[in-house]
Amino acid sequence: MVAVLRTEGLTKTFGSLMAVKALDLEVQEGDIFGFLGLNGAGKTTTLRMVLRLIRPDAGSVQLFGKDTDDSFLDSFARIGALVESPSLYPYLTGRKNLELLGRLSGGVDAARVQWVLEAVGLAARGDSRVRTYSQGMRQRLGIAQALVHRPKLVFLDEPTNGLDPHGITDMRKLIGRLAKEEGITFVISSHLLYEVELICNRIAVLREGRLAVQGEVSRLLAEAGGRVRLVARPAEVARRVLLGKSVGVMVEGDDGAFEFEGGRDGLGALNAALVAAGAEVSELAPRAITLEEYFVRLHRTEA
Amino acid sequence: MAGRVWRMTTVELAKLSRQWFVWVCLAATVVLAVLGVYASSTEIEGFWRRTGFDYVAQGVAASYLLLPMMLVVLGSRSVSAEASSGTLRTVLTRPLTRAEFVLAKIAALVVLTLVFYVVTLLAAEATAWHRADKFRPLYPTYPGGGGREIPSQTPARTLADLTAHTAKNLSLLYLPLLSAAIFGLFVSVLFNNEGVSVSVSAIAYLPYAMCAGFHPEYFKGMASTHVAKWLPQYWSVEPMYKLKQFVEGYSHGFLWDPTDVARAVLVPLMYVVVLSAASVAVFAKRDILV
Repeated sequence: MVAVLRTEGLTKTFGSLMAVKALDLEVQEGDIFGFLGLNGAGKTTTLRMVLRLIRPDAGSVQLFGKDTDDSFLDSFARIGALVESPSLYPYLTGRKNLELLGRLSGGVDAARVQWVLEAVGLAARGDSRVRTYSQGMRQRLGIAQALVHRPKLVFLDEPTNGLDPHGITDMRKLIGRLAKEEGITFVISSHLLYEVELICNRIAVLREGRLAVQGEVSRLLAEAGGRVRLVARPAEVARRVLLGKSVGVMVEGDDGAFEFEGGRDGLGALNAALVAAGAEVSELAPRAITLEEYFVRLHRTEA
Repeated sequence: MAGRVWRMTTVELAKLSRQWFVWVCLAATVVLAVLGVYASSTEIEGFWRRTGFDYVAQGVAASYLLLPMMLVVLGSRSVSAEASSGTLRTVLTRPLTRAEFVLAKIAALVVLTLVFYVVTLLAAEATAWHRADKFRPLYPTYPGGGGREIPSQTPARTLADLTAHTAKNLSLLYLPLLSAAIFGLFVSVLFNNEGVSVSVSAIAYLPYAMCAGFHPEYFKGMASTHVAKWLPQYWSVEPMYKLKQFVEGYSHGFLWDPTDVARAVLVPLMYVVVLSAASVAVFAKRDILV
């Protein structure tokens, strides 16, 4: 696999604030890479440095194997980006926006513009001025401008902002389709961890400007262990047994179900203990941890 | 590099041509030029009958009431408006260096200034052609002032005279106007906020607009205080003022003297070059945080 994006020791400070510190990222060709972190963790600052909107205090950025300080024009012809909110010319139509921005990347034909408009669900409004668009439509057009010139690496910062649930699903499908059909590598910054888990194969998590973790989603979740869901009546008996077993952090849901960290090991003994204590067990099953749970656990642990 | 600047320039011009503000500015200068021709009296100082050139000068002078200020404002919006709306980061993630981006903005202002001035001049000439029956050839070396009508030497109007007049007018008055637009551009690379950029550039160039506009005497008054000579605008306006006198037919000093011509072209050209280079240098080092 070839690294299409690599940062080494990327650092940026704003006054006394260390926004990003010694960040080493690596995105492989074909990845759909989730770039995660709390608000203010340094995600957008990192993207801005990668896209040369701001200059890093230290470190380097390589795109397609070349240092961007030496040669970025060739690399930038092969990337697309949506940074923060979609920023387009409101007095132009959606189609004209795409034509003009595509021209800056070397030119695009009318068929490609039409295809992208259809892909993001804006074909019917492509000839309307952007000032008449809703926030969700602007977001779709922002994604379209990142794709119109057939890039090989696309940065999407909060791509589902302003989209309705239907739009979020459409966007997820579109990203998956483009990754497969056009071989586009995506770097996606998002707070919708459920969506990230569904679509991304690798992630990096930033915390206070530092890299907390980076790797394949499936491996990270597997290493983090699973959770066990228990439904038993009466709940008081089940709670007493679980406390006696010292299962660690336990969550009791409104539906009377218990959840705690753990795997398949020891579930037989737990079931026996519950039955012996007089509880009626209707559900006792291990399940994999979700990305959202992993994210929360990661920040809780580091805190 | 040239190809990228050209592409960006065409994009910039396409954007400008679709902004109602630009069309309103252009329409306003045309209206002022036409009104300036019709509003001027038929005689100069109660003695000389106006020729077509005198009428043209009146129209152009009227448009100067707004033209430099409009170009300053349009220049001051060129980068700051993109920063304010966030389109700057959309454009700068394309294969384009910062220098190429600014050079394309400058190229677009070169074209925009030319279009504004040519349209204004043509509007004034067309109106004067309709109103005046004489377009006497200009005799700038004639004692007492170039362009004055000599009753015994007043041939009928000819298109060739008008064309020559237009060429002279353009070659000498275009660069001061362009310097106004480039001054606006320089201010615009300093600020992320469009409103701040427009305000700062407009205030800084207010003396310029007044001097180059309807009230040259105001400028002369300022110059007499010896303060104005310390303003960079002075050295752009002074030749413009003299040229304006010449074009209007009042000139007693500007007689196509090579030094004056060189200064009229070189001084504003120097400001265009210096401000352009400064804009490129400043923008290249700026972090785009908007």
